[in-house]
Amino acid sequence: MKRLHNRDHERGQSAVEYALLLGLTILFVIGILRVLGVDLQGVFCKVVNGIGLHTQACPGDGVIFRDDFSDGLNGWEIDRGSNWRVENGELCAGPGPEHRAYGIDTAGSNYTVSMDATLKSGNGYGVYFRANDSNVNGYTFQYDKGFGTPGAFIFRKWINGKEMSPFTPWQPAPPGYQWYDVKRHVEISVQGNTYTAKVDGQVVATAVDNATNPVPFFDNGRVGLRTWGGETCFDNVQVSVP
Amino acid sequence: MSYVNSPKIEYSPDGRPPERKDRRRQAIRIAIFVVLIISIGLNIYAFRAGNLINRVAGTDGIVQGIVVDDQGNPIAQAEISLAAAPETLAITQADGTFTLANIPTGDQYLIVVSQGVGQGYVITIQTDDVTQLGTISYEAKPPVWN
Repeated sequence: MKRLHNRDHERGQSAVEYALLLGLTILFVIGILRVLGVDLQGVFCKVVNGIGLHTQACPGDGVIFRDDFSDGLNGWEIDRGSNWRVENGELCAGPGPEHRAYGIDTAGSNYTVSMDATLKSGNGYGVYFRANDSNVNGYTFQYDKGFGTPGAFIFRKWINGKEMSPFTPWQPAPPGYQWYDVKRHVEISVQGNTYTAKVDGQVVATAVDNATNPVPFFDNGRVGLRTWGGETCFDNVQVSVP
Repeated sequence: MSYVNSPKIEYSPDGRPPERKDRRRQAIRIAIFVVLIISIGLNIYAFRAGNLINRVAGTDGIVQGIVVDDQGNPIAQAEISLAAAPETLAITQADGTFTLANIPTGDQYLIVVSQGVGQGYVITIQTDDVTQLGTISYEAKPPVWN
């Protein structure tokens, strides 16, 4: 039988071309949004919550991550230290050398991270934000008993795993500050290049990172916890977006 | 099939059916091409921003300097590296001197780490040349500072 259909003269677009165009367009839009610093996970959660769904990844009310450690260490990636454990419903680390853990699915650009934390011993604890890679590039806020006398609240930058000296001036803690065995509510706001830390509702440190090339500036990344030379317990870790 | 609904074939003077010009199909193909070009452009930009061209071309420089503390005393065993190329490492000698090679040209952020804490310096590397930084004053405080 003779073939009557001439494929060269078919009208319309092939399915492959449609798929290619759709894929490229999606990649292009995602790339532009990432370049502009849009928090894609936050947008996703807004959409999910907007249609009435509340999942563990998107709990709602702007919260993108919440952990009270009732289910153990799920949701956390232990990066350093062998003595991470859940004790009395809290995530405790140390004593010993540096302990470091990152919250899984806590990446973003602008967010607020909060927690309850108790320093039991040692020099202090830190909260990573906008942290990338195991050999970390990012920032920490540090509740730092060991930094000067009587200790200080400081922001540090980490470059290729190197803990850099504070990039903005810091204020020492008040004389006689009670560093140990007090559960403090710590809240760090990360907005653009401005970082603000509160302890028990009081602003204790602010930092503005005006870094320009070639000085690294980190505009997104995960949340993490660290303690060094002692023991700290964390609870009710929460990350929320504006 | 009725005669009215049967396909109609129009013939051109040479006896062949005329070519169909589907503008919509052409427009979509052009759109694919434009997105492809933009994507390639973005990747080229990222490639250049990462100093990869300089590295591939071998246009790397060398820096030499001396690290001292805030009292002017040389610091030995300090670790020297670059933010953009962490694999490039040097350790200062007893007199504080160091030589760091294979550095991509242009502005770089040099990191000096002593006692576990880093301090950064913006430097400019000339193409295939030795850049003398002179004395670098390291004033960062150690992590435990009591």
